[in-house]
Amino acid sequence: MDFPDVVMLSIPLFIVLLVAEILWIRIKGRGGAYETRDTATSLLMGLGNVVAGVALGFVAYGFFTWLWGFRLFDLGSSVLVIALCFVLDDLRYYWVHRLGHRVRWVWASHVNHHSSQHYNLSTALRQTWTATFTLMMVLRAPLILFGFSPEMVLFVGGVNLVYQFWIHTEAIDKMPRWFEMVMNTPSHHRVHHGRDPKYLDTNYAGVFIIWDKLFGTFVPEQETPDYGLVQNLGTFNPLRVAFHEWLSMLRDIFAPGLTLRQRFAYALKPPGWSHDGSRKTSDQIKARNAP
Amino acid sequence: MPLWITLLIVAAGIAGIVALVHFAGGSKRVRLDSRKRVLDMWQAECPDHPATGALLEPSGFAALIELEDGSTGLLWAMGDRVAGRVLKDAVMQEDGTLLHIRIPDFTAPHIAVKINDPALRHIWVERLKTVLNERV
Repeated sequence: MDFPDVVMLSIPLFIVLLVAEILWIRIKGRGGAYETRDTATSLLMGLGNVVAGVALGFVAYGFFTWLWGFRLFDLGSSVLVIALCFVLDDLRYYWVHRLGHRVRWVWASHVNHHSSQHYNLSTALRQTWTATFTLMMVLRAPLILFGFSPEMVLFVGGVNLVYQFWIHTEAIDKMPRWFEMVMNTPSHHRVHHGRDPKYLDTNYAGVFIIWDKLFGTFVPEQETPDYGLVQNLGTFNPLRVAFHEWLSMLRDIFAPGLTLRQRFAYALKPPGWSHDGSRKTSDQIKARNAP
Repeated sequence: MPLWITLLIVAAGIAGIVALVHFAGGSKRVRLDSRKRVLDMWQAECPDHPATGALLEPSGFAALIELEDGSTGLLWAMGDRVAGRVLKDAVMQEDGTLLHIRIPDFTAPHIAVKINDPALRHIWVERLKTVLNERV
């Protein structure tokens, strides 16, 4: 069965919704804010993500195709199987995303998505250029080995990404109660983008917020979050946005006078970890600000 | 579709959206024109470095922050938001009315502050000289 590239197909819809949100904010005078250079950076990050996908997509696809040769079953492509694959892949997304915040090697790639101090539909497009280097594709291996085809796994992953576009907005306050209970929503995801101590490392969900509730990382939105990074960037340059954390991490890893264990820790411990305790992790920031 | 047409559409699309944001008022810059507001912003940006005072400049683009530990910080406008850094190992260059402050930080490498008033610029330069490696 052929699966469409839903992300590419959705680009016209993304543009229409983005323009609609800009006009809505302008006309209503509420529902978020756009800043010119911030928007340009987000769009260029989105473009770079597409280019990186074209240039490096063969790595993940080749890996998945190779794995497919070792599958336990071939589950076919019925609607039920696609639906099951979608739910299981969303669970996979939750853990990849959680690792993206808790392991500096993966954070180096994901950080750029959080680097805007704004929260609007353009922020959704501020995507990584370096996902391939995180090797997080291995978390899809169980799905493929169990018998979900690589094409299907990539398709449901694309649907997951498309779903997440619309939740990057302040124009929508809350969805109906039943929806907020089960699904990831603008309210839940605003919390995820907050740099307020109590909001750090929460609400990792892609589509279903139930994973956060199940694994203890759910925090409801109370006051409006302050968006961005613990230390916000002082540049709009997309190259700096894309690579700054990789450079910073490599500088730490190869700093003189460290033990091998400390060098690995700089790559694998949470962002903010340091061998001499001179920086703070999100856990330490949260503990310091706990009521 | 030929690649050049695709690239043209993408470039036009990005430029169009950015232009729309600009004409919808998205290029307005935050003004750092009140000491209290500046100190509040600094506190939000750099909570680990408590401030005791701030030196503003008339354009409202940037402010020097006096810190409790005796060091100096810089808060500057990033569009309608701000960024802040403690000035450590930074370098200053004076170029007419412009003060170029270069920080050894890949995420905030260069901040140019324009101060037309010579007396105020002198105060900034003297303040910065005490904490920076001056390079004229």
